[in-house]
Amino acid sequence: MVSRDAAEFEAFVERQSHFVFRVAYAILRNRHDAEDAVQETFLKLYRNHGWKGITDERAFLARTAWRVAVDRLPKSDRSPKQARIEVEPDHELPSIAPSPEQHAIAACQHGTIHRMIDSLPEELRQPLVLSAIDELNSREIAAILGLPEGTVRTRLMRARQILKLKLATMMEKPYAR
Amino acid sequence: MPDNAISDRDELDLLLDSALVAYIDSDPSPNLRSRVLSATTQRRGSEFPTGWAMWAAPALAALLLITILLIHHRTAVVPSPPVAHQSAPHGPELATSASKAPNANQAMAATSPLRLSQPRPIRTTHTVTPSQPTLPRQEVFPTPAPLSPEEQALVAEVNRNPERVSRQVEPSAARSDEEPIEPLRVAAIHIPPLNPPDGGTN
Repeated sequence: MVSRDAAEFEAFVERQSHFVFRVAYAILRNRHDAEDAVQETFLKLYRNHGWKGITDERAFLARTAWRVAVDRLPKSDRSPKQARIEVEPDHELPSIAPSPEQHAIAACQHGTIHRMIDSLPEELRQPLVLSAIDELNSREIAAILGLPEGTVRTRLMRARQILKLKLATMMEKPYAR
Repeated sequence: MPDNAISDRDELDLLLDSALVAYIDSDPSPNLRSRVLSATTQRRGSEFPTGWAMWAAPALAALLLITILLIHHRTAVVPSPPVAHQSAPHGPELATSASKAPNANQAMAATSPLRLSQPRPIRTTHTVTPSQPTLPRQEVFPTPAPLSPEEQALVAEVNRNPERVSRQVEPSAARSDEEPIEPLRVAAIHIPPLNPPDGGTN
């Protein structure tokens, strides 16, 4: 009985560990912290036998991992940040002037956008990054965050709006410096 | 111009989507699964027993506790005769025991110097037994007791030579009879009449 459970749990870990890692990493943005969160998530499920008989494995795991990851966030990051919809000053954004190497440009652009995402309030950032994980839809994200689906959609739209506004402003003045 | 705006929006969306994918794009270390599994294996090893074993330990502990309590209770109820219920000793016995006690302690100390340095306290159990039966009231008080050897010797002597004993006892009685008893003489009491200072006018 025990050996069968162990084998099933092993298969469960094998199947879902990468997904759990992505959820934890999206919240924590640190590989080591995310791995610790993965271990804690699976241990928690193993301890209370919560991994057995799950109907929606992915949503359940994502919710558990999200909770563990949020608990590991520094307390200052857990509280929702002040929403800063206004565009950041130009001097905070690196220039996206044409460069011979497109890859470097893309990396630079991504780096800039990542900093923009990081600056979003948690209430907007978390639905946004979860939406990028394995195509989690708004219903699943709502289940993970424990919010109504409409609220999740609104927050997703608002987050994208803020980011696009910042990007557009940045791209209009590429040679500002 | 609107076409340009739409294309810009699409471009921004594409850029944003690709950046989002890159934002969460990270692979765990290859040993993450083995790390998780080894952690759960350790957990399994130290897991609290389930089933009957989970109840066996508390039940055994409770049984042990009850046994200890019962043994302690029995020890506490048994009275300690020498200290708790001994009546006050008679004079000679008290003197004897008082004189014996230091000797006994000295003898014990002589045999064991460790005991001299750390005298073992006498364990006394002061238990109150509320329903202790009292002795029935005796019809004759003091309670008849067998004669002591001296008394028995005296009785035997009286039975053997009653006259001699009476002769030894009677002189003192005769002597007391011969002495006349003088009546008590009490001097007459003279009480002077009261003479008031003002001559009894008032």
